[in-house]
Amino acid sequence: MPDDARARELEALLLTALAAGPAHGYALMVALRRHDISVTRVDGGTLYRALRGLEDDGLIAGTWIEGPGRRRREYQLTRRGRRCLVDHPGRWRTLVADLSGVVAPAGVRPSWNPS
Amino acid sequence: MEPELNLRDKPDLARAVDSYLRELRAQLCAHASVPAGADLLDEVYDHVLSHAEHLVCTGAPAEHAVATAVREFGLPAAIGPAMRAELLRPYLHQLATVLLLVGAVVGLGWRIVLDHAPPMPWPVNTRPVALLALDSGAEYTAPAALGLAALGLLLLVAPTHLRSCVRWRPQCQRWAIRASIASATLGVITAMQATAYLAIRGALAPASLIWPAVILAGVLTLATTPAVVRPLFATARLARAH
Repeated sequence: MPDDARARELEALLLTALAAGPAHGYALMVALRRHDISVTRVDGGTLYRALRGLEDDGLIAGTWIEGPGRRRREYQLTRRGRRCLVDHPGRWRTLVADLSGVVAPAGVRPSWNPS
Repeated sequence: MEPELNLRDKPDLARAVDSYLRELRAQLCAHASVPAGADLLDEVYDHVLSHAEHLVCTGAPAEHAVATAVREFGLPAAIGPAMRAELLRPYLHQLATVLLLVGAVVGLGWRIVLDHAPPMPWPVNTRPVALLALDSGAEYTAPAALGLAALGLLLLVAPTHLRSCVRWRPQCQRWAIRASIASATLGVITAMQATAYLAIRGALAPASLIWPAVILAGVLTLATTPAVVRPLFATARLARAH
């Protein structure tokens, strides 16, 4: 699969994961890796590149949260991101539906520790 | 809840994480002029520690947990270029916007100052050649600088707003870098032409300029410089390695 198509799929998956609630980068990676398909086997660089891209496009918004000894950036869907998720072209729908079942119950919640 | 991994008690592990972040910082060209780079590194630090804490929670020794978390995040040389490209985008966007706005406002300001100045003591076709050349030169370079800034902005905004064009984003970004750098270069050339024009006209026919207006416009033009220089420096720094 071309890199570009993989990047688009990853962005769709991240939007889907964030539909369950705000989450930080590591929690998103854990959620993606629970579903073992090629597009979810990403390194940190690819993940944060996709998150920056979505943030620049106004689909998600990041907020810094001060934690013990370090700070953490938490992402959530913007109104535009929710609309984009709803309006996804048909080819995403099956993938998104599959992953909704995996990501949402996995509990990507705004907790400090992903659990 | 997973236990927090306190690196202050484990200097070897802290050194390993610091060394990884240093390599990544070098790849990202993170610098005082690129504050987004520092934010991204904070995020990487949190990610690596969160992953290590998760592994410690599942029974892994702390040393192994940190090494695995660092390795799985990705080699700096492998992940750096892609992350740098994303860091570049907001600075490039800012640069194109500032060039367009500053260029339009400054150009209009100087046009007003010169249009309301007293006439020069020579008819148009007998004016000093240097004045004619600089005047007509600026009339080409200024609109070209504005046009290129607008093109750069369009190339950045189009893939964001037209999701069908999103696949062209990397190519659009590369052309937006070229357009913005060319716009900034033409902006500098225009400023040099305008300065030389004012210096020659001021020396040969000082009564043909309203000096308080020229000085005020000059000061205001100089005041816009930091707004351009900051994103230009960050863009140039990140784009050089792009």
